[in-house]
Amino acid sequence: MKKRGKELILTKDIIGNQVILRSAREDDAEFTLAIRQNNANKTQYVHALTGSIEDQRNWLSEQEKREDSYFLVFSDLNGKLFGTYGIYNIDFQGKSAELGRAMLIGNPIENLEAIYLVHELAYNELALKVLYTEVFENNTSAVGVNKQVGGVVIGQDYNSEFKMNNLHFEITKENYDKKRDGIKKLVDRFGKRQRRN
Amino acid sequence: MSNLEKYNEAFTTTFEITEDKLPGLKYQDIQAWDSVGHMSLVAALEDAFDIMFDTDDIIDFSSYEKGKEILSKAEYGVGF
Repeated sequence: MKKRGKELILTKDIIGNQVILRSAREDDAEFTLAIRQNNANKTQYVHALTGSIEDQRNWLSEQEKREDSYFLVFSDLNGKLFGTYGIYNIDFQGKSAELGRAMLIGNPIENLEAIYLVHELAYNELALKVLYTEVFENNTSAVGVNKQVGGVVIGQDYNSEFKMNNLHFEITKENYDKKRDGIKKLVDRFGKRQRRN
Repeated sequence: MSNLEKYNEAFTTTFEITEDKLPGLKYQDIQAWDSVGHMSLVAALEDAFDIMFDTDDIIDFSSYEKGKEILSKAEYGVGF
């Protein structure tokens, strides 16, 4: 389990205060396709998905089988899905991976806990030491999140398709650990509060 | 310190920006006001005014101006 966390997250959901994190399944296809197509303020920074639900279902099926890739979905405690994240190209020996496929459309409390849970999974369950991610410079909230979890810009290039700079982040476990307590305190402080309705 | 000064200080300290940037500032306008920054700001305001935000108000807190409107509600009683 320490070296390969795949079995852990395929068989067991990770349940937080207000958020459930689990591996995506084929029957999440409608959601995982829609979230990449229907959120204009987010999708302007990601490649458009043009395939069908069946294509998405097949892609999710492939992801479930891969040993070096996790495609994750987040829901509230009632099962309402609100986000995705991917940890992929995992090198378990080198203890590194890429982080991406991030789309979070929950409220700030849910999004905060989702960010916390995915980094806990990467560093503490999968025992990774470093994550790499790329974010467009204009995507202020995503750039902000990566800095808040300890990410450092280690390079950039120009994306001619999107016509903007692409920032390359490195997030080491060491840097994440410096931020972790502050984030966890916020998760714990706000995680038990319920909405009126 | 006036309520406005306390309010502004929560923003400037949390986001490490100057006061002149506050009017018109909206959630996700700047890198520091992301999901994590938002909850840090809410925590700072709760501590500054000794209140506890309702969850719906945390979600509705979408701008510098909207925050003042929320804090002015009867349940918080923070006048500006």
